Amino acid sequence: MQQNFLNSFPPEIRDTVSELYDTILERSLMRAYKNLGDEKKAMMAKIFNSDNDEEKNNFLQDYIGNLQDIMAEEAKKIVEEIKK
Amino acid sequence: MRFEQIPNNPTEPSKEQPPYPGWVLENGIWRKRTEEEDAESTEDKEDKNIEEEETDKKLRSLEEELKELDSKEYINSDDIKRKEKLEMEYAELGRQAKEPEEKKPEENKKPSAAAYSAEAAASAAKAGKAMEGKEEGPKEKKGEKEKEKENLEKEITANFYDELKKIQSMSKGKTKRYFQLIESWQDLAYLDDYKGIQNIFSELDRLKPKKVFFYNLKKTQTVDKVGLTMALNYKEWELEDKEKLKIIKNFVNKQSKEKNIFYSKDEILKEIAQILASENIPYKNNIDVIVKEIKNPNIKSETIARMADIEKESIEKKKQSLQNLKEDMKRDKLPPDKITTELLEKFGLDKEAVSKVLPELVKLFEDPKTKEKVQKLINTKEFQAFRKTIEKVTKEKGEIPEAVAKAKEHIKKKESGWGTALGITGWIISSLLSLALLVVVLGVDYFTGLAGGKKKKLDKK
Repeated sequence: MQQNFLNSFPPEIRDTVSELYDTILERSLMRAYKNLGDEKKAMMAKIFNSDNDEEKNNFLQDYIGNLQDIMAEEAKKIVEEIKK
Repeated sequence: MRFEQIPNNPTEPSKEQPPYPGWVLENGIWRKRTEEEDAESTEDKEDKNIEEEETDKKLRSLEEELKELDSKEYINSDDIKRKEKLEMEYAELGRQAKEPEEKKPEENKKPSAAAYSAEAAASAAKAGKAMEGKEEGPKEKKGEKEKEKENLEKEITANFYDELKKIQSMSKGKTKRYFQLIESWQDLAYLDDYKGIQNIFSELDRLKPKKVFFYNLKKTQTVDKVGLTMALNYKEWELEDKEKLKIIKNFVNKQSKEKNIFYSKDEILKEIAQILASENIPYKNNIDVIVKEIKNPNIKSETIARMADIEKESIEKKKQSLQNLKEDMKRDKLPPDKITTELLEKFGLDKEAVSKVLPELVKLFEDPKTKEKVQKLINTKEFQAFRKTIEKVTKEKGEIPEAVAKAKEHIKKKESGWGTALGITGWIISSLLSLALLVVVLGVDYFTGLAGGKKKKLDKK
């Protein structure tokens, strides 16, 4: 669905939107990561270095459950930066 | 039901009631109880009372659970399994309680918790039949169980049709209720070969609102889920493969006839084909029927390549993929319009602004001239400058820990489940960003409110 919607853009806009989305996701994860304690950071490194998708999903659900909210905030910030 | 009482022949002693309390009927003659009988009877009664109390307690608790299930507006497959189990348990307990009474019909029957509701009794009687089958041969047992299952399935489907009739007779709020009914019905819709659900989609098309943005978004998500559920329940669905594939194919094709910018027929067909492959459905003369319907050659070749990969996967891996998908579908239950509104509000856009921004977005996509216009504007100096700013912002990166980079890749990976869970958020963010870019190049600043917390018109004094 998302891909279909983006596909209707010209490639220039599509690429830009993808870059922005990538940045928002990265910044949101960084923010959530910084809030984790050392033990959880080590746990995250271990889990995301493995091939166990279920453990990865559980970790995100348990420790970074509010990622959607963070992403909305980061998106807002990024638009502000662009407009400056 | 009424029972006609036939009075006893006056020459014989009454068999209904003893002439004196405590007397027993033996060979058609009432007599006083012996001392031994009295002693035994007291002990027996005490034991029996304790047993009966326990049975009553269990029966009551089962009744409560059954009533709770019956009172649910919609029941899912887990509820059905639970109901079947409870009914079996109920019937078994009822049978155990009934046995001693049947052995001694002359004893007065005490009213107990077994005087349960007519509804529960009917269900228990049905399940009781299945239990009685236990004492019969394996063929009878199997036959009874199948009959019991069939009856339950018919009852469930009838309940959904009743609900459909109720909604049809409503004067307001039909669309929302229709979507809710599809959501509840889809897991069990294979019981009537998805006929009921397809009727609802026709009704929905008839009621299509003038402002289609949220409607189309919701409809696409619902069609997507029904299509995937058809594939996920493929093995439970008791119909010839040829017929099942025809129904899936026709359903997806029919939905693509309605103009909807969110809908991607090829993407849905691709996902359906992948699920069927994970369920070990053969490709030739089966899945290929679905793949042939994919129009986009890139998606088609991607699907075929994915089929080959799935075929090589272990059974465990296939099961895990299907499980992930099922969980993913459950997670996405919140209506998208609610998610969209909540997120847009988090962006700082109030409802009034949302109502202006979103139709603008739709208009942009529905207008065939837009692409051409945007294409021209992309080459303008303004857009190039804008793009440079974006590049600068996106390239400003600090040190990214490996765990974060890998988590990002995991989320972006569609199969992870998180990719889809964040799909709506991602979609909204992407579309808002796209709109931000478009309005900048088109010179319409709807995003003053988004960036500054106030809408432009409010800044003008």
